[in-house]
Formats: sequence, structure tokens, C-alpha cells
Amino acid sequence: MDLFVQLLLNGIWAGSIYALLGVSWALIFAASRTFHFAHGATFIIAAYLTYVLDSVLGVGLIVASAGGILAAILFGLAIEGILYRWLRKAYATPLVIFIASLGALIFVENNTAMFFGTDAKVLSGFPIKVIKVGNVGFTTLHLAMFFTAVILIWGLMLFLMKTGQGKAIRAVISNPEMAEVIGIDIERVFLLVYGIASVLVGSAAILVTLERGATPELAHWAILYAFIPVIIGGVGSMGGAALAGLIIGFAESIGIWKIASQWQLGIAFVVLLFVLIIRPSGLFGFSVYRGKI
Amino acid sequence: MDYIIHILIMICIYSILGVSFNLILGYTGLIAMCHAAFFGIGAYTAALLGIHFGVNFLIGIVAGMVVTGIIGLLVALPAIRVRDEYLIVTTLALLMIIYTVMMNWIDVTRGAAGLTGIPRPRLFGLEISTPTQFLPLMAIFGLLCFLISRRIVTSPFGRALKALREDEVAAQALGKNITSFKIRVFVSGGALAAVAGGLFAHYMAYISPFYFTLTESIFIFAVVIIGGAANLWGPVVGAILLVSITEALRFMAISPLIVGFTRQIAYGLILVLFMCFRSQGLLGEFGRKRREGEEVSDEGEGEELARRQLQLSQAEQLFGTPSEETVDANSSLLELKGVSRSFGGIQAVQGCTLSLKEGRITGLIGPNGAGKTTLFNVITGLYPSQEGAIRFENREITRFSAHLIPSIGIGRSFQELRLFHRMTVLDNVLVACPHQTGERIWGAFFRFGKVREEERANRDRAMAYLRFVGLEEKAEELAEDLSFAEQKLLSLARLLATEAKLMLLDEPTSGLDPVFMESLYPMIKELVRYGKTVCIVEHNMDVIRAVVDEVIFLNQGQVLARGTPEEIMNAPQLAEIYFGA
Repeated sequence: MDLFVQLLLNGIWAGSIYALLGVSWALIFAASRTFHFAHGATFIIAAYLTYVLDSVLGVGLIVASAGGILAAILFGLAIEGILYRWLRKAYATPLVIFIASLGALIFVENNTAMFFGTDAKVLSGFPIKVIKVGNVGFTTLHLAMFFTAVILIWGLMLFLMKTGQGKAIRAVISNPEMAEVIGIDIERVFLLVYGIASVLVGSAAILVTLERGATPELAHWAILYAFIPVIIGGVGSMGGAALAGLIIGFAESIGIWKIASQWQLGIAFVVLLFVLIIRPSGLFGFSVYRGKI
Repeated sequence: MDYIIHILIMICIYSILGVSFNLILGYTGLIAMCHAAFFGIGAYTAALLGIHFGVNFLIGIVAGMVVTGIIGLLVALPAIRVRDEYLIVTTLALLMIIYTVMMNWIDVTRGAAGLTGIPRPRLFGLEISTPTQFLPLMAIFGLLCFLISRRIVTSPFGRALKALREDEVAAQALGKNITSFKIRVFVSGGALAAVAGGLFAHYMAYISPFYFTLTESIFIFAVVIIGGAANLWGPVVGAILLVSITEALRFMAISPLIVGFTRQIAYGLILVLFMCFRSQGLLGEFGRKRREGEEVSDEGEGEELARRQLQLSQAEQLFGTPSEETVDANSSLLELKGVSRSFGGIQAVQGCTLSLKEGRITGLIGPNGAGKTTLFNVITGLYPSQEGAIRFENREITRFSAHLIPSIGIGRSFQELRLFHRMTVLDNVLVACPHQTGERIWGAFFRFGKVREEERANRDRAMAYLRFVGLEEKAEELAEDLSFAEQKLLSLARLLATEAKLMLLDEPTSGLDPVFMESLYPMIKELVRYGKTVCIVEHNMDVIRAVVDEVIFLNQGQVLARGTPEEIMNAPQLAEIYFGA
């Protein structure tokens, strides 16, 4: 029983990160229908800037995190506001935008690798303490992961449901042409969406860096774990992406009990294929999006 | 000197990778992230067979193709059925899984250390070991893969691939099983990548997982995109350019550690810049053939087209002599019984019962949202009916998938035309021809004579259809360069080429100017004389009056009335519904 609770908790901690990644990308994909690969670049930019501010300049973890998230926002806005907008103005096909996004990802990733090397960069300054309840253990960092995810995703949901801006985003998600007709400034909504998503992915980046250190390769890891919850949860559903993130967390945590941990990714892949076979539209998806990439 | 030969060899390898990926990305429009994984599986299979069993390298390469093909098939089956973005995610996951396997299945792959001591290939008792000896081998394989890919894209199979890239729904309505086409091209592209893998392993004599990462996949993307997607020579040009650039960087960078990063930074930047300023790549799909920026003027072209006189005399050549015996007007070709279809809470078609009589022109009218187009979609299997039964020539077809409907003799046109825009006018018609041997990979490669014969016959027929609608002179132009009226005619020619017995026309005259519209009437009427049955969705009452034998009035997904055009138009309560009094 203790083992089960422990595995369940491990699943929640990992699932929180996957949920953050998934929801952040789900928002971008649902609203802008752009297959935003460069999201992985946003992730490592937040991670490495926080590292530089914290461990090199020593401004303290809180200020450093704020700086990291700010950098993520600026990068997200720049990619959308400059690159994607330029391409859309030139009537680029979604494939063209997708490839530009790939290019931006490897550009940022390899610059990072060149400046910082490929070894893991760790953050200091987070009071990691082990908490034991009976035979079940976890750390303060795990709690931080969980609460960050809950607060940010909850906040996003409230924002989407209650505020005018949020409603505009939802309108764009369900029907961009109609949203434009009723006078919603789509470009502004896109910027807003990329900004919000960058906050989410930046927070996830800092938490992951605290847990295991930052490497340039995390960019690939981050996009994969951002994409998979969206497909499992169903395109267009933020809640679905969050829940799918948790499901992957549980599946991996229970799987690792029996399988060596380096095969973790295989578990997520099996869940993905399984969902594709039994429910191709995702667990909570609605089939608004029928375009061709 | 050896260094230059090394570069040439790498160009061959990347040409193979690019050419094979071009089939998937350029011609079919599938975005797969796992080409480096296919490359890697080919390399590891050939290397392991060579190291442990000393098999001939040719057998190793073939084995690599088989293993890659099987893995590709297993992933493609669940992923390709659904939306395009699923394939991106699934193939990205596959790539990372394969990488994980290479890194962690230490007993077999020796993990990050990689495989060393891969034997040199032997051919006719000769060992191939120096770059100079390798070059001819690479060149031969490169040429072979190029020829295979050329055959694929110039065959009817390749034409169908382009069609489904341009418009899946329309391709399906012409009887193409799009899932099957996609899976076949994905697997064959992957198998060709495995050839490059086998060659690479034997040439380098050492491989490690780091050669087969996402970065490598993106590099292959770059080779195809920068050279020019869907252009046969594009990937070759891309490979020459990118391999040369990355090798040149070797001389500029200071430390060898940084070389890898700078070259990736360079091609990342090149990708972004190309997308911004020349997204079609260096060559582009149509090379110089394409006339850019020529504006099509629609001014007064209706008269012009009408004057060009539709070649009704062509009809006999196409459809045979008109049957003298009058068709039994009571035999119905298509019967719908209680057919229903809803979307979410909206009942688009409910309990619809009707029949279309053979050899007649039936008009389907009704207010907006009455379910006319949905009815077409239900009949053609695009949105399968949820209740009731559909019978065609006394055969139950309710559960037929969309791509089977054309083969039994039901064809349709679309209100929004759905032409294959970046294909020539002639190809638009050719792709619609039924039963093409060359649409099977086996047929395209091993029944050359038959395919050539069919192509000649189909080409003649296609030209005749184009003559019938008056588009003969435009045969070699791209469909997107036609004027709107010409596009309408083309969609009709494409539908005729399916040889469908029952033709469902969705607003064939909307948006046309009156003079031209009237010139279409005799053409539609002419079709019936040659044994076609026609059903037209139409808003224009003039058309209904001029062309149609019988009218079915649809409202809220149900048949409200049927009768002659006069009867329907003179019924005041129907007019009220129609015009929403």
C-alpha cells in the first residue's frame, strides 16, 4: 500500500511538469494552429537565464526565476510577433512556419550548447528538504512543482473563463475567422497566448532545472512532453492536456517500478499509441481543427 | 584529395536521405520527424549483421530496409489514420525511442560507445576500403535510389500522392484510399533511408547513437526544403549545398568541439532565412516552367468561353453511341431509406427517404442549411449515415468507405471545387481515371508495359474530356492559374473522368456569369443521353427550370416535396419556406 501511494505521488510530481508543458503548448496550438517547435527553445532560454542570474551573477533564486520567465516571455513574443507574423504576412503555408520553427529551435539550442557546454547546469538556493509521512517520502521541491502547476493552470482556466481577454482567446480557439469578423484583434490574441504559454513553460523549465539541472538537450525532451499530452488529451482542450500530463506521470511512475528508468520514454510512447488506436481524437478532444499542417 | 572524395561520398548519402524524404514530405506532404531514426535503424542493422555474422553488405542493406519497413509500418498504422499533427508527434517519439534503444540496449548496441569494427564491404572478392573505392559504389546506390524515386513520382502512384497532398477529400472522392497511399509512401521512403544507413555504417566503420538524433532529422528536412521540396533534383542540390557548407565550416571554426555546434547554428539560421525569403527552396516544385505573377482577368470571359463552344461532338467518342432504348423511368438507380446524420446536437439529415431515377436529371433544392450538401456527403461516405440504408443499383452501400464509392459508379463535384491546385490541368483529370495499374507500387515498377499502355489511353481520354469542356489548350497549365469559370469546367472534366454513372453536382453554376451559365445547360443535358444519371444541388431557379426533369425539395434534412419544376415552383407554401417569409 505504501508503495502504491509512493508511486502515485511520484506520478503526481512528474505529471505536474508534463501538465504545465502540455497546457502551455495546447494553448498555443489551439489558438494559433502553429506547430510551435521553438517552444523547446523557450524552455531552455528560461532555464539557462535563470542559471546565469542565480549561479553566475548570484542575484538569488527568486529574482533569477523572475528574470528567466521574463526572458521566456520576450522570446515567445519575438518568435510570434516577428518571425511567425512576418511569415503569415507573406502567405506562408503552415509547413513553412513549421520549418522556420524547427530552424529557430536548433539555432537557439546549439548556441546554448556552444556557450554553456553540454554538461548539466544546476541551480542553488532552493531549500530542498525531505518530508516523510509514514513510509512515504517526498521533497519540498516536489511540492513546489505540484503547487506551481495547480496555481498556474487554475489561474489560466479562470482567466480564459472569466475575463474579456480570456473569452477572446476562447473565441479564436473555436473559430478564428468568426472571431475576426466580430472585431477581435487576432494578432493581439496570438501575442497574449504566446506570452502566457511562455510563463507556463518557463516555470516548468526552472522546476526541471532545480530537479536535475539544465542541458541543451532538454529542449527536445520538453517539446516531446509538451506534444504528447496534447494529442492524448485531445487538440483544443486545455483541461484534457493537463489531465493527460498527469496520466503520463502516473503511467511512467508505475512503469518504472518494474522497468529500468531509462526506458521511461517508452512508456509515454505506448500510452500515446494506445490512445491513438482506441480513441484517435484524444480523450477530451473536440474536432474543430481539421486543417492540414 | 581523399577529403574531397569524402565530401562527395557524404553528398551521395545525404542525397539518398533527401530523395527518400522528399517522397514523404515533398510529394505527399507528410511531416515525419523520424527520418534519422530510419537512417539509424538501417545503419545498425547492417553493422550488426556485418560484425556478428559477416554477411555480405548487400544482404545487410536489404535486411536494414526490411527492419525499417516493419518498424515504419507499425508506427504508421495507428498514426497516419488520423490527423497530420499526430504523425509529427508520433514520429518524434519514435525517433527518441530508437535513440534511447541505441543508447541503452548496451548488450547489442554498446550504448554511447557505439559500434566499432564494422567490416569493409566486399564485392566480387574485392574489399572496398579507401574513399576512392567507395565513391563509385555510393554513386551507383545514389543513382539507383534517385531512379526509384523518379519512377515513383512520375508514375500514376506519384500523381495520386500529389493529389492527396493537395486535397485529401477530393482525392478520396476520386476513389483514392488515402490512408493506404500514405502508409505505402511512408514505409518505402523509410526503407530507402535505410539504404543510406547501411552504406554509411560500412563507409564510416564506426557508428554511434549521436549520428541519429533529432538534429539529424532536421538536417534532412533542410536538405529537402532548401533544395526544393517536390522537385526531383531539389534534395540533390540541397545535399550538395548543405554538405559543402558544413564541411567548409570545419576549416573556419577554432576547436573541433565547436564545429558541430556552429554547423547546426548555421543550418538553423539558413532554414529560418529560407523560409522567410525563399520558402519554395532553390529549385521550387515547378522549376522555371511556372509563370509568376500573371494576373488572370475574369472580365468578359464568360462570353469568350461560351464562344469557344463546348465540344459536344466529343461526346460520342467518350461515352459511346447514345442508347436508343429508353431507360425504364421507374427503375431507380439510388435509393435512400430513412437516412440520418447529426453533428453534435444538430440533425443535418433526418430520416431522409428518396430515390433517383435512372437516366434523369434530378434537382435538389431547399433553403440554406436544408442538408443538401450533407446528403451528398452521406451518400459518398464522407460522413457515413448513422441510420437507414442506401442502395445503389440494388446493392447495399450504406457502410462503404468514401474511397470505394467512386469505384461502384458514384462521382461528385464540390461546391468549393477542391481542385488539385498545384498540379496541371491534365494531371487533375488523369488522376481521376479509374483502375490504374500504376497506382500500385508493384505495378509501377514491374508492369512497365501495361502502365505505359494505360497511360497513353488515359491521356487520350483525358484530353478528350478537356476538349469536351473546352479546356484543351490549357492542359499543361497549373489548375490554380485558371480563371474561376475554367476551374468549374475542370472540376466537371475531372468528375467525368471517373466514369461515374451517377453524377452528384454541387452547385455547378454558382458564381458564373449568365451567358456562360447557359452554355453549360446543353452539356449537362447531353450527359443523360449517354446513360448518365445526374443529381444537381442548385439555388438558381433558371437552371432548375432549364435543365432538371424532377425536383426534390429538402427542408431541415427531410424531403418535403417532389415533382416537376413547375409544380414545385408554383406551390406557395414551399416558396414561403424557401424564401423564409
